[in-house]
Amino acid sequence: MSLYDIPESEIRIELEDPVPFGGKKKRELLIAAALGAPFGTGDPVDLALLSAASKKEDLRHYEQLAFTPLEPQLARSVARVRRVDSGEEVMIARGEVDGILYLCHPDEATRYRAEMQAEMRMTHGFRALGIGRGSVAPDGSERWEFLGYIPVRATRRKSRRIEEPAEFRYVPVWDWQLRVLHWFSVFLILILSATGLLMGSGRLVYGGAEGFTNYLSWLRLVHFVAGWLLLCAAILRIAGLFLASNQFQRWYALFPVRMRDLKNLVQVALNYLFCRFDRPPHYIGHNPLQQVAYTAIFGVGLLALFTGFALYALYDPGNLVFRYFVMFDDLVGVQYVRLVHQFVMWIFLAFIPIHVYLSVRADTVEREGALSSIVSGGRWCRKGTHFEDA
Amino acid sequence: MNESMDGGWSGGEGFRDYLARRGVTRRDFLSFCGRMAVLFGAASLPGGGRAFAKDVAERLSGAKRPSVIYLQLQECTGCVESLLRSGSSPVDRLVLEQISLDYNELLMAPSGTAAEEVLKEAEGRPHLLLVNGSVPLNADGAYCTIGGDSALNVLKRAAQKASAVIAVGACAEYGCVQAASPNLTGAVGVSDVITDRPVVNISGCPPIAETITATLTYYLAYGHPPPLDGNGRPLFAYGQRIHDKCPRRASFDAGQFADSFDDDNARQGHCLYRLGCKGPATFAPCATVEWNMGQSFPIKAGHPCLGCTERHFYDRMTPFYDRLPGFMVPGLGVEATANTIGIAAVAASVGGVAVHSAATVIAKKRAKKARPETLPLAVLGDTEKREEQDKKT
Repeated sequence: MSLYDIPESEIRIELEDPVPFGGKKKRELLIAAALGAPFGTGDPVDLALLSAASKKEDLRHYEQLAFTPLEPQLARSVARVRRVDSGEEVMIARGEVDGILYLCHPDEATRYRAEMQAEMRMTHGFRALGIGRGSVAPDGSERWEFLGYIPVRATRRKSRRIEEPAEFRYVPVWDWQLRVLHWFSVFLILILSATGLLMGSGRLVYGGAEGFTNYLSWLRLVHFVAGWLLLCAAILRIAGLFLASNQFQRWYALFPVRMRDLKNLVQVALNYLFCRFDRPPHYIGHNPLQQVAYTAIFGVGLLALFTGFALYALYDPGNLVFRYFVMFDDLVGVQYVRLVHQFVMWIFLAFIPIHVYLSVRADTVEREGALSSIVSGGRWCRKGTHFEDA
Repeated sequence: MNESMDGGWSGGEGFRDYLARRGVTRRDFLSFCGRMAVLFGAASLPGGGRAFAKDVAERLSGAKRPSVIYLQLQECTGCVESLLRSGSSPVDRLVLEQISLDYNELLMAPSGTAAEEVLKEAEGRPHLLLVNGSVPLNADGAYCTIGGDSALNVLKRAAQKASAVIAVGACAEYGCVQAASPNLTGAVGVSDVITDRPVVNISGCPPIAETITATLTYYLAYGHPPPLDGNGRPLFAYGQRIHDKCPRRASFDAGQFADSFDDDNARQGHCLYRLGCKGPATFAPCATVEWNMGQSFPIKAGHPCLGCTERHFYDRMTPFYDRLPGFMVPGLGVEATANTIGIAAVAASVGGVAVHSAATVIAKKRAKKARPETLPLAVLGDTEKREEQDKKT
């Protein structure tokens, strides 16, 4: 419609409960309002009325004989409608409540009440669409009665994607191998952080250990074993970057590659920053911001492994492999390797709350299913959503 | 030193013959070789320490008296002081006395022109070159001159005909204190100047005397330097960390740490890890050989290791009494530990999450409450023009 300079998909029409007068029923009022629409109409309000009314009665029982469009002076449109089976003809007038009341001449009380309500109750942009029904007597005189009004509001649709009912489809995202690796690494990183903190400070141990308990030796053993296992996990993950058949797990999912993804990176960052909900872009795998963040965390994890083994190497500096780590220690200084190793742990510990928060948020607020996908492997995706990486 | 006529080790005589002439019994000699074998870590070799000790004894018996130039450049003479205390047995002393120490600033009798001439003469013969102290390169070497010439030139001349170069002490290895940031004199180690042949670094500030004599013994016996690690240090002494052989290791494993000097745990001899001990990162034989004829070493005496055998320990092992170096917090000028910064980062992350989730809740409520933009209704006769007029009025 030329009246709106915005795409039709963004117009949102809301109908509130019809307000019938003179003992009429809501259903009757709604059907009358729908019949008052011009045949073949494209107006969003008409379409909304037709859709609502067609749930109450089959409108194919009626046919439209004539339609007088709305004139500015009279402020009403009139349709002549005939019921196919009985041949009964009626006229339906629609327009501002004032105009319809003027046409119908109801009794003073009805008129007063209708005017009052249409004025007082119409808040939040709702407006009253008055409906009148008329019949033509054999002598040609018209008799009109006031049926009531329907509150109507047309608004620009805000993106309330998550609030709308929609159909979903289940999309598998992550292989079970990847999920196992993820949770295994989580477990290891927590173990490594806890034992590392205890070893580095000795504070919790201090005073607790009477006599020779080998407490710290056990901590070190656990730390070293977990470190080796994390190395295994890292090797498997890196191998997966090149071997996985899943496109969301391969190496090109590490970085935003296409120009559009780079633009989306900014968009996603702004969405997060300003708490915007369900704005595009949508990704099945990781969005560009996630890609950058997770790749950075991979890098931090590798740094943790590297510095960890550089420190571990000191126990056997002549070893075929460890000698190169010891050379690295000599280059940087062991104490600084230690410092980096400890700081890396804090990066992880600071990352975890943000990571968990954003995943939970993606599940609950944005309904993107990021959290469930790392548990079950798949996501429920809204049908019809455009995914950038599908 | 001048050769003593009363039975010094003369050039053509074998070491064993000389010892016999001096009244050192074969038993003493073999026990010295045995101790050296232990120092060299031969126990882990195939055949065990006994075979190695025999080997050393055989080779040492035939060793010929070498000429030694011992230069002292930019340093504090602490290394020579340490070397002079290598007196744990008569044989050690003999090794020291009876190498032909032709030139050494601290110990030699001649001075001035006489000393210079001795040096010039000794330089012309094949000799063993021991160096103490670093070589300052800035200001054309003006920071250390000997006999009117820069340390750089003195070293280069002395090294020309040297059959082996041994850098004794941290200064000669890389510059030690004077090479610490900002290194005003541009001090470098011997191996930075003598680049055409391997330099043996006997690390430490100062090194333990026995590691110096042991390296000399090895050289006398075999005619080539002992196996070295990546920093040119003899593996027999610098192959393991102090931590690996520390007498307080049991306390470390048990998690018993001294919290401050002179607290209860310190008195009980618990681990000095939390007082900044660098033993876990320091390769040195302190815990096994110990100092001053095996009397003690810092950790045993209750002081944490400073890591003086590691390169750049003044820059990298500091602060000496803390576990880890601190961070300068940019903008604040405050030094903080990694843990302080880490806890702050985690708190900031949790706080950020809290703020962001609160903002999300508020934004959601607002979005619900917000009055959407109302559009005109064609069914009520609105036109765009009328809408615009409404807006204007």
